[in-house]
Amino acid sequence: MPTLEGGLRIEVETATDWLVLEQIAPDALKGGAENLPNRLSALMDEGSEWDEIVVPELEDFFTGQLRMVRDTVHAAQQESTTDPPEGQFFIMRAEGAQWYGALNQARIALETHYHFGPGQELNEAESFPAPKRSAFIRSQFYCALQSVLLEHVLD
Amino acid sequence: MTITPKITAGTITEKEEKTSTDLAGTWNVLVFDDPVNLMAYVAKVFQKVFGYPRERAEELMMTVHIAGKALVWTGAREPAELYVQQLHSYQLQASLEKAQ
Repeated sequence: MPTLEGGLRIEVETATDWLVLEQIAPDALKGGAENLPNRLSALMDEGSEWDEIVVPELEDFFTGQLRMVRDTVHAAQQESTTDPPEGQFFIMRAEGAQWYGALNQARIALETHYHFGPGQELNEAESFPAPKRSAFIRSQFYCALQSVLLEHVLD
Repeated sequence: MTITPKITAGTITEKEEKTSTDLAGTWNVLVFDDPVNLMAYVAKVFQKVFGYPRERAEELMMTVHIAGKALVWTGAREPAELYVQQLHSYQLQASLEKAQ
């Protein structure tokens, strides 16, 4: 739900919603040593010193995005007192890019791990094995949230 | 970001001279297609990083999407590296190549 301040209000209605939101950071970290900064660095030539200078900066930057998302979701969960655990939290306009980046990291890592490919439809995912299918559904959810961020929050 | 050649006793080794020469001149910034980044996001990043008007940014985004890559900027090595660093921070697949 867009807010008047240019952000979003996220309403969480079920335990599954919380589970998916909790998975953003773990999904993004699926690559392990083959993380995003290293994979981007592989595109650069050896003369660029990318590994020494840029990769550590990107690692800090990307980790900060994930930490912010994880902390926001965790804090909202703690405030929920209902059963099932409903709740809400806000994505402020200033946090939009960090949220988008964290969701993007998660989608890139899932794509790298499972190779969904472009244009994959939900009904095609029915034939996937269970872990890949649930990862695909999470990826679709992250993509939908990114689209809302693009439309309503990002400059 | 660029390597500064070590100059000792008025000489430059062959390897260092080659490196310095290699880094001079004009460089292209390339962006590659990927199955994750949303098209509207890629165009928005081009506007932010390079200050391109929306039409130009969307044209480049479509080139990336259709051709698999696009040359998005050409110039000196140092600013080209800074642009690639920014593109990487937006999680786009970008690299440098020496212009012909």
